[in-house]
Amino acid sequence: MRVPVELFDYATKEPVEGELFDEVTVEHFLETQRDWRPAVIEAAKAMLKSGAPRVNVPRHFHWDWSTKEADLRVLAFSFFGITCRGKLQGIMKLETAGRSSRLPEHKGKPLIYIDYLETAPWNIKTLVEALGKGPQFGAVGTRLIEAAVRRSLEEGFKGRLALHSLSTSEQFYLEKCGMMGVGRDSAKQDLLWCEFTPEQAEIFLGEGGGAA
Amino acid sequence: MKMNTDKDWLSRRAELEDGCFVSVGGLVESLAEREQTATNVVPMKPAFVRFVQLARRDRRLSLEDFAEKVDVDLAELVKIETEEHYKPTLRTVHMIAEFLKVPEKTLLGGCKLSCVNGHRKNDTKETRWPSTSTSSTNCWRTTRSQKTSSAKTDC
Repeated sequence: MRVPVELFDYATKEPVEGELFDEVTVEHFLETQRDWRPAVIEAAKAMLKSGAPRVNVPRHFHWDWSTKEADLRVLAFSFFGITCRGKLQGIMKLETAGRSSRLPEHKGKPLIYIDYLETAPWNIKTLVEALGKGPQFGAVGTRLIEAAVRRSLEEGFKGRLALHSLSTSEQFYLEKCGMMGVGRDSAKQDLLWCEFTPEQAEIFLGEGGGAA
Repeated sequence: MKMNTDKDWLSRRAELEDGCFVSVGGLVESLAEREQTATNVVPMKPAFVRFVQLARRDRRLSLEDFAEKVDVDLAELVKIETEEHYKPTLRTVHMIAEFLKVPEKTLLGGCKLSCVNGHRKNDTKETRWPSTSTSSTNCWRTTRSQKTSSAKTDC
């Protein structure tokens, strides 16, 4: 699956065409390993050096993707990536089976779980500004979440979606996306379980959204 | 999958995402911890070395005999077993895997040997590993003399 998707170009303040795809390969993993990780670490160091509050310093960095190759062949997992101007801008891993809602009114109903989501460091304002630059593309994370919601619709899960939010990302998922914080998960380093109900997912998709 | 094409929606969402962290997963507690891991991009080479050594000794083979049977260059085998930062060529890993009857991906992936000589990003489109198809396998079956003359695995 490859579909055109527009991102927001910070340089021109205009939409720019990218591509959403689900044929993620080991090469994409290695691209994050090679191109993203050093940039994140460099920015985190710069932030610490400049005295930025530790809470603002990214705690996510990223997985050692070289160990995740086998996941590509697991049917219960789906991967999505977004490219723009020839570079990988974001990547996401979904679990499409075995997860269910923790909201009382939806308890036990199946949902899509975002196991991993990361955008390229040059699209993260806090990171690039620590290095004296500006971000390149906006709404990359939003587009990946949109893809996850649409996948949920395709699976018949009505847009139900969940994730464990890192502390640095809680504001985004709760306040900007409108997800519900269901509770901290002691089995997952006390991260907050956030969830979209079908209604919230529909609101997130906005006008022109709706079922895939 | 049809994505939202509304430009106003995109602008609003971009504004909402602006300045936020959106990452999910991959939590580490400290930069120091991350850096510790980051230095180990080829972290498990000792595991690969240990595996090869044990497999060789289990077969009661000297380095020379092992190199002969696997059809790899003795000098490279010595480097694999003795030089901490030496990266074996993909051909060598392939030949060792074949001799030990271990899937090549397992040998590379299981040992997290994520960086080897002779791999170039564009070698394959789908994956970074060489195909095990007949033609490809034949391609890897260059003799040692051919290999040493052509150096790396440019199949």
